[in-house]
Amino acid sequence: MAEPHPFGPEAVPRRSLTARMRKFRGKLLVASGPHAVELDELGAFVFRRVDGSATVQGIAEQLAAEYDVSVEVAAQDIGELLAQLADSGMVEAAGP
Amino acid sequence: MKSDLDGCLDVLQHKELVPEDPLAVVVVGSVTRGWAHAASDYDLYVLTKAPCRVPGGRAMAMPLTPDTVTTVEFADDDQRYEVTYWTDAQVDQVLGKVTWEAFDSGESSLRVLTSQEELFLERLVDGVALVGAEWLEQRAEQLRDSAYRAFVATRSLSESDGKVEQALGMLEAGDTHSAVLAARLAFEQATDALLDSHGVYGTNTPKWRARRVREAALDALPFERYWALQTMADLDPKHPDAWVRRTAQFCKDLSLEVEI
Repeated sequence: MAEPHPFGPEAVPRRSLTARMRKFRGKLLVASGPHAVELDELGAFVFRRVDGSATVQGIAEQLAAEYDVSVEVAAQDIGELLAQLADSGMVEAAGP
Repeated sequence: MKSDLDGCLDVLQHKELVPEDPLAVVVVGSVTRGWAHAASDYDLYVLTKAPCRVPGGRAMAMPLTPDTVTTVEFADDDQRYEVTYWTDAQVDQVLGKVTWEAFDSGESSLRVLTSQEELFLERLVDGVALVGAEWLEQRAEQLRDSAYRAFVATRSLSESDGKVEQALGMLEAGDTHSAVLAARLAFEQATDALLDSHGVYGTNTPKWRARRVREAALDALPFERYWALQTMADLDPKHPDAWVRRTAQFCKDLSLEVEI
């Protein structure tokens, strides 16, 4: 069973103010301190909506409406992605 | 002031400031964008194959070969003019510094061109050719195909990011006033980055930023939002730290809209 992460459906994530973002040749690159990641299309879709007001559930619903994925699976995947990005200082929990 | 651009050529020819067979004579700057006012001068570039000597000319150093361009300033009928002479080879060299190969190789976006070289390229975008329309069209196309946009947008974004980090550090240190100024600078540079990425250049002429934002009419930065932040209209003097954080956040939001 996967370890629970802090970004459950009700969590409100936000991008870190120290994260640096670059859109380059169709990719979204995010860097924070020594860490850098290249987000794919779905990752970029999520990252753009991480604005300190949308819940994980809300983002998952938007993702499900746009792509062929259930809201439940989307919320789980988003939570895991956010947990990875949080480990690198790129996002943080704004609430609850 | 005169509004007839063709009249510029007559003035230059009358003062013997146009060499034989120029490749182009181009009016640039606020006059060609419809932004001129009573105190505006006419800025012109004269392009030649070989360096030319101009009476009263002042040499301006350039990291090019030849290593100077010549500028002459004068007034005619209460109208001020500034004419700068570039050779075609110098233009080749300037464009040669902003290739995609140079960008992909990690060439620093901070030092690739001098501010005078940047100003020259940026002004060509909206230049009006009095002579040599084909030359201007060809150079404008080369500029569009170059990595210039990527270089300047990257630089503006990096500077904005740096100012955001400084603003947050200043807040943490309790230096709220400095944090406000740093956040505003960050916003100005994020705005420049967004405009740069759309080819609406002007980092070297910040006085026209509001004009550029209004004309660009970008969904990511409506003019009213831009102006409120630029003038700090929504800064609550009792809570300047909140304004700093909001502005920093908006800078980051803008950076997601900048296509390098």
